[in-house]
Amino acid sequence: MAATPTQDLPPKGGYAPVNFTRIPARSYFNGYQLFAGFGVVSAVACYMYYKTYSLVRREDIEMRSGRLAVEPLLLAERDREFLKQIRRNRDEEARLMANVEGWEVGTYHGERIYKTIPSERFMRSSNQ
Amino acid sequence: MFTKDFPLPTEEELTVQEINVSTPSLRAAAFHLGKTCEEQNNEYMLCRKEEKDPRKCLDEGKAVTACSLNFFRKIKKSCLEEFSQYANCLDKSSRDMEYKYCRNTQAIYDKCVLDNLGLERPDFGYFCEPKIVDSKRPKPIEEPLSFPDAPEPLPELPVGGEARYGSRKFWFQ
Repeated sequence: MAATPTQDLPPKGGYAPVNFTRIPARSYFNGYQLFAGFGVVSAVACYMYYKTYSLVRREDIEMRSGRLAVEPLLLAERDREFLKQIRRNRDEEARLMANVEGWEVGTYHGERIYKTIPSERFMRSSNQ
Repeated sequence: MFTKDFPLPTEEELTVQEINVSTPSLRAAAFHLGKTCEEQNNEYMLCRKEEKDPRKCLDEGKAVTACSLNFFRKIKKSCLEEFSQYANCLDKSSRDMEYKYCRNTQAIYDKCVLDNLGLERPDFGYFCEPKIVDSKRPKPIEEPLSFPDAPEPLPELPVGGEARYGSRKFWFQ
């Protein structure tokens, strides 16, 4: 056995004093500065948004202009093809309903479809 | 509606040389084409809006197609390479064929058209503006609706017999 067993004792002179005072976090900005910073960043962002949105609107208008410039050409082609197709439909209807009694092409069993409109008027089935 | 006696134009009247050009090329040529063919386009749209009848606007439509065909022929003679490069750029750059991705090719194409054909590209919003159009064709007269004091009787319905599936007023029949 050792002469004296080793013990976990405090150091000579005791422990150093413990600092238990509060140390608050270092603040770089106060409240007013924070609000001001928010306002500045918002203003800059607003300006950039306005610029970008104007550009986006201009590009949209340009795309729309490009589409509208070509539209009469496409509509002319479409109308011609539409008239050809109406003729084909009328012929097909005549062929289909040839054996049905009392059927006239373009009417419902001889009855006019639009009763109060003069018959020369071109009625489209959809709003174009 | 379209009875046997309803006058429809014949196939020969409707068959005209059509434009055989795809969407990117149309998008590329749109601004200059619209500026060149402005009168014909305006006439056609005015006719279409006023008459509401495609049979009456066939001539104007053919004028539109003919004008566009002439424009494409002129481009083909003078500026074909720049035009096809621009159309290719528009086609491959974005989903919607947006103009903003192809400004460099557009500049080259614009310069070429300005030199050869003397056409300036109109303002970016030119075709979005409403146009006031006047034409030599007289405006169709719209008869104002007449509301007589006693309503006119409707024409007699043809003799049909009873309704096939009965009527809605089941309980008071």
